[in-house]
Amino acid sequence: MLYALLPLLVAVIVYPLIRRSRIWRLGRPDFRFDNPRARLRNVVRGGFATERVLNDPYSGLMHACLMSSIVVLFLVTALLAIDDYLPDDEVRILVGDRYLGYSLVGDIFGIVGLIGVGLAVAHRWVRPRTRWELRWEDWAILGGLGALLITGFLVEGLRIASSEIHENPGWAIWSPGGWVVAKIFGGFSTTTQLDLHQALWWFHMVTALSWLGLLGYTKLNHVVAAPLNAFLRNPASSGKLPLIPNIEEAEHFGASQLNHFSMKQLFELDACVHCGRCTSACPADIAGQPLSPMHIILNLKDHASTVGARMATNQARGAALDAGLDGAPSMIGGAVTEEALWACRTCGACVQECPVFIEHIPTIVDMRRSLVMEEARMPESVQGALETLERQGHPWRGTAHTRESWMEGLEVPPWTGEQEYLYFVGCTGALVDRAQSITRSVVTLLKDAGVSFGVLGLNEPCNGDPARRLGNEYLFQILAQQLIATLDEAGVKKIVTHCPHCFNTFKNEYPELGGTYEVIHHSVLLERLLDAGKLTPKATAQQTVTFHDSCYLGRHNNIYEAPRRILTRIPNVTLVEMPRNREQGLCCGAGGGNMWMEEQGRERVNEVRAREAVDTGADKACTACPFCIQMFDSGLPTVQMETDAARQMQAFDVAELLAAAPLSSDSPSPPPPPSEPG
Amino acid sequence: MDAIVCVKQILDPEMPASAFKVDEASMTIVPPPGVQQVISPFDAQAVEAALQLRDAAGAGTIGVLSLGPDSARDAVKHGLAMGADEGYHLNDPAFEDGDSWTTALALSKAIEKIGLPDVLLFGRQAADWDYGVVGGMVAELLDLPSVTVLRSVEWRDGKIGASRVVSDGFESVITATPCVLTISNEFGDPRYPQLRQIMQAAKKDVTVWTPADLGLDPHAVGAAGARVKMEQLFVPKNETQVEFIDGDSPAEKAQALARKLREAKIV
Amino acid sequence: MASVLVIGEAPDGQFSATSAELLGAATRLTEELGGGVACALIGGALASAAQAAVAAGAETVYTADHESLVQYHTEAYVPLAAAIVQQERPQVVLIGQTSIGRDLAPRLAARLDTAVVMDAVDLAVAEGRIRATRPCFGGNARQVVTITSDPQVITVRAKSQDALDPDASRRGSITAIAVDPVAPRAAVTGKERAQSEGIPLNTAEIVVAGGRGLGQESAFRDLEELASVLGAAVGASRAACDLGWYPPAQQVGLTGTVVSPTLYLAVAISGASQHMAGCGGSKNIVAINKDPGANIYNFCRFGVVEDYQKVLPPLAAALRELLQD
Repeated sequence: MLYALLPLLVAVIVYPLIRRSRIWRLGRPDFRFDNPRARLRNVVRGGFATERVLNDPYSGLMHACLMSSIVVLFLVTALLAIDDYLPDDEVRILVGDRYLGYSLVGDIFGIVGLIGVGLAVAHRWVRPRTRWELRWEDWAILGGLGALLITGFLVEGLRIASSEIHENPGWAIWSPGGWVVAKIFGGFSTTTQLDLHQALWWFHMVTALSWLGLLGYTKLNHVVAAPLNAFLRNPASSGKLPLIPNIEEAEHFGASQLNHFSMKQLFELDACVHCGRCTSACPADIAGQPLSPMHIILNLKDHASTVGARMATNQARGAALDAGLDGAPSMIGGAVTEEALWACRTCGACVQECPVFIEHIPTIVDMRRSLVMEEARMPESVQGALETLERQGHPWRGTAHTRESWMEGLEVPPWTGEQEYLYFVGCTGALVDRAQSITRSVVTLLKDAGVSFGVLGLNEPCNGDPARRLGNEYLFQILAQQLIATLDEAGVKKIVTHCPHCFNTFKNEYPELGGTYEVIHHSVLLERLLDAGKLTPKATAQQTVTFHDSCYLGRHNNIYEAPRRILTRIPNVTLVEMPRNREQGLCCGAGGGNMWMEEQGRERVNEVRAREAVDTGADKACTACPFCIQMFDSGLPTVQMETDAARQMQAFDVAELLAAAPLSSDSPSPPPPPSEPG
Repeated sequence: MDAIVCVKQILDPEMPASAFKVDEASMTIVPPPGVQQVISPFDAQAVEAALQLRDAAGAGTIGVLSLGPDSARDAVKHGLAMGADEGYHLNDPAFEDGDSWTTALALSKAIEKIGLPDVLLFGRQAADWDYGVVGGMVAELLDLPSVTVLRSVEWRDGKIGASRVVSDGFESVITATPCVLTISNEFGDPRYPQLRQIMQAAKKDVTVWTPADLGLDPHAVGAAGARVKMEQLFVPKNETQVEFIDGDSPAEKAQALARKLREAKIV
Repeated sequence: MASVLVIGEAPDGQFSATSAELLGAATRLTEELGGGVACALIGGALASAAQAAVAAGAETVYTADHESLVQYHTEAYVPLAAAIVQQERPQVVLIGQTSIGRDLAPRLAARLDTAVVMDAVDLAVAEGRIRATRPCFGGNARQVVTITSDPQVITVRAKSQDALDPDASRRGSITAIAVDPVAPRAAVTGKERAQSEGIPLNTAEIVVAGGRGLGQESAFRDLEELASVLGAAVGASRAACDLGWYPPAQQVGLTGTVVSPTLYLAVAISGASQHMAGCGGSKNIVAINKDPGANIYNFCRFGVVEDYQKVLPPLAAALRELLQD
């Protein structure tokens, strides 16, 4: 009779998935079978071994308890069911000592499961550790699982109480959970025990099947979706944004409705378990700004359930996609606010934290693309930056400098085509007062080390990174194609840059457009030069330095150690870390084009980060990004004024600290940050 | 509500002052590398004003008209990308090196050829030579009312309500149409063109006219017809040497500055 | 016969300072051009203004005096100005680069079938014609131009020329022009005066101005405080006005008011050339800006490289004390 329910169960699990898949199929086809080995490795490590989940010890333990318990008990139950069908003791598995071992495993994992449920309950209702989003599913899944495990022990205990406890009292140790229950129910009459056993057994089985039925309707689907999403995960750097191919012929730019996303982007919405790890790591959310990556995903998921479902029905009927959707909430503005889209730093913290491998950045940028290119609707400051980029080839509106102002008093070799490296100075390195000192330091170091390099000077344009992060893919492609033509014509093979944003774009995004260069960040080159003995830092005054990771150097490009090793090789420098460092580093606030935006919210991200730097007690903050420097320069004074006005912590680029060694008693004083144009 | 907006292509006025160079011998600007030609910002605001007036009126055709060399076509295209419908380009060697007068003459002939719309719009001045003359002259040549240096415009059923920026405040003006309006920076930022419109604008034809097309003698326009002759162009020398006020604290610097101002009898 | 005609302004019946400067310039030009200086006044209740024009150097004054002319209307002023020019037949017509002059000059020139040069800051005579120097390219450059057609219509920047000392003993003829009121197609229906309680920008001896670097609208209260200590007018850069921090009427710069006070105190203004075009004529520029490389320091007598928030309160206090003594 029970087995009659099985096809129903299969239907209950499969049917919603099929329904749901119609929504996924609204998206652009995006089948990802390239690099299958790496993808399978992702499935094994990220999906089955739950590598990401384990990054957080508490929820890692919780998840491991629940997952192992469910898997083991499922297998245990399945084994029992199979065993039941075997004809006789000759071939049966669960007899004798084997049965005792089996029982012990079952009991242990039952207890493990209950511990997991307890941890999960505490995580949700007692002391949430992340920006949790509680939904009815949480009650259903945990409540159901708890009930399942408890009734499992009750059924076992009643069985033991009615028979085993009398027949084989020595077996107690093999069923510890059941034995305790048996003791409790020992006073009941055997008939009562058997009746209860019967009733609870049915309850247990129905609960078990119902619980499995949740698979199709709740976030329990992550059991399937997470490994699959691990397979689909972007194998390239998370700093690489997807290209819009043939943009001139594109029917739409970016995503203003669900069917503009790719199938993968729609599918992964359903993988979200709203654990809140992304939001807890999000710099905007930490600063109280209007962005929660989890809610972007969840709200899109809900939007898919309502508007998306209707679209899918329309599509199935061959009707217009938006038929009957007049007055339905729009995706941008309705499901997701524009403020949230602009508050994103594209720092990748959410992407890195997500245990089910959701990639938030491309989805957020796709919606920015729609705002900028379709609707031309964006914050005034974004428009200003983009217009300046179009007209002047750099995003620094109102700069008083040319691309050669920083060279004053310094012999800088112009690019001849003969040198080994093109030093790509970048707009910020050339046009922003504070960053010019970084550029000058890099040039001094490269010359000291005898590196063969040249610069493009006035002929250097922007490589398009800001346009791309701000959603103007068209402008990015134009700028990139022009620059690739310039670089190829100039015979450039190797590019060194001190800007992680330039670095990321050259390294990860240019190859797709036909620009293939060996790209190296100045921190990596400088470390090599130190290794090769071409640079020898001299003793400086005793100082402690804390290093801040630029997102586009660290998280997106996995360069964490080179700048740190440079610092530790400067004599008398002691490196101290902020609590959030390396992979867990917090964005300075400038990423994703926010360098050119006004922040809205409780706090500024750069002040949050500056406070963390000040709290280390270090003498200096160091970074390897000209954006981070500017954010620290404006954040540090504010924070220090609040706490200890006597503190004079300043931020430096790693090249500045290396070039400044040796130091006399007076440390190098960077020029103050550029004032806004009047 | 039909409108024609006259726009000029100029060297980006936002270029840093340090990049600005002139060739005194040829009396021309030396365009610095990387600095682009753009639509004069006040003119882009005039296009925006035209689009807003049309939106308010409900319908109408907006033409964008420019006089200039081949590159001026981009200024017309910019107007089209913002949402204008038709582009006109007065382009002929004979038009080169004219002055405000010859420009106004050619534009007024072109406007007559297109057909006088309800509203003619101009930027308050071209942000290169900073004259601010062409709008007024066109109004005079076509005998139209003109309202200049506007911070806002409003469509009022066949009339235009406008707010003029004057030295001590603002004047509200109501003008009959057809009329000439010149738009000032107080108007607010022009819209950012949508990519689709940029692409459509790229495909749109721009009508090109020569003096002959306008019934003008080539000697009446351009350098031959110009009435203002440039004698000299230079970058003014600035010999001021700043004295930075020293002090151990901001307060000390402030006090030192106050004393210096007093000693120099400036206050 | 006058060789130079000044089209003067007399708002509220008062002969304007700029008009007197134009008469001063005209007088100097006639020393080389020969001929006399005439002045045209269009407005209402012009009797005393006409006398003031004579005292300021006009030998002939034309008045178009009618209550309908108190408010400037392009279509009312242009025909009257053209009629006076045609009657006097001067070689040169000088007009102030003011709100009225900017509007009037181009139409007047077109009506007279001649050319116009705007915003001259220097006037010289060569071969019997005027060589006018004017800023262009947002103040980055200057050009010297001559007009080849007649009359030569030129607008002149306020405070670029020196007026003669007013002399009530000067004698001149005053001729009234018949005014036939017209109903302008573009009619002024209202006027909103900017709430400048303090000293008007264009006549202030001291101007305290703020820019985008202030970072917030409320910072203008600090500037007003300092201005009240100094008896100064408060101005703002275009960027600050565009952000809505201060009324556009208080904008100093190429497209705002051009000022040339004794002291121009620029706070958190970087000094873009378009801004310098509006204040470059000041006798003394003093800047407070935390960026030592700010362009404004190229034009300054004194500079304080500091965050303005830390400087303004002690500066106001120190000045208050000094000025009390």
